[in-house]
Amino acid sequence: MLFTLLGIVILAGAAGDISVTRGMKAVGEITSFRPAALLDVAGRVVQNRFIWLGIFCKTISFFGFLAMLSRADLSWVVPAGASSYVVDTLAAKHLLHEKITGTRWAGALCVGLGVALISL
Amino acid sequence: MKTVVVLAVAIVANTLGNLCLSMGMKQFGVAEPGVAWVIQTGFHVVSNPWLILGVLFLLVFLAAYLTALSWADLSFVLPATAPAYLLNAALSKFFLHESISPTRWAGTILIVTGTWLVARTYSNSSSSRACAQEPELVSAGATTRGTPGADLAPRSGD
Repeated sequence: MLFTLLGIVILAGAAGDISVTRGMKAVGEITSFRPAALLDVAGRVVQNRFIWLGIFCKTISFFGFLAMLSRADLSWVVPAGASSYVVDTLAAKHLLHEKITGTRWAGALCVGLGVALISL
Repeated sequence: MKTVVVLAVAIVANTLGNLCLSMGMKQFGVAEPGVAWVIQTGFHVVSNPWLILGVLFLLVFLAAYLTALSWADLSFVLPATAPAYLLNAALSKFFLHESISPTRWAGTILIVTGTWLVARTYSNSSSSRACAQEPELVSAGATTRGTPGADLAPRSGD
């Protein structure tokens, strides 16, 4: 159950990041910080469906995190969340066909080993 | 100097936020996650003092993290906040009385090292690629050491 929740937290979190990013790119760059301009941006943000999808995914991720906290040690839950670096690296390699440097593989491997160690 | 202060605030707020959320959630016992659980937990988030305090700390974390990113590179901010994992382990030990075995300390140190190595690779990116990745990484950073979804959920929460 704990690892299922971890999977939900990481995947929903990543999906939320991607959705919000896509939504904000559509909303456009924020160039002015005058109240009227910000109000205009806020209006476009609440009308963007990707922003709402992102908020929905982030909400799932947050509740998954709370569910993990109710059943596991904080000293396990927080570092276990770092496995997102491993998932990100694998997704970048296999889904986005990005070239992954040796340093990045070494970092992902360290995180993966670390998560295995804290789970022992 | 201002960078050191802002990053210190980010690290402390993030760790205290997670600590408060953990204190709050431990009061409610374990239940099977489902629709009823989500509704009940949603109510707890807005009524339990520990959970409210936790969300407020995470808001402070997000503000400090974004402030630091407004002038410093992510490739600096991300590894600079990685020691939060160590503070998290220390506070879990002292306030939640979790027993942290040498293996868990070793794993935590490996994760800090791994985060630092992964972060180094962003400084190698071209500036446009770094910009494209930044929004995702802001949340990824918040997610890993902080609370997933807290930047949007009850702050709306990572």
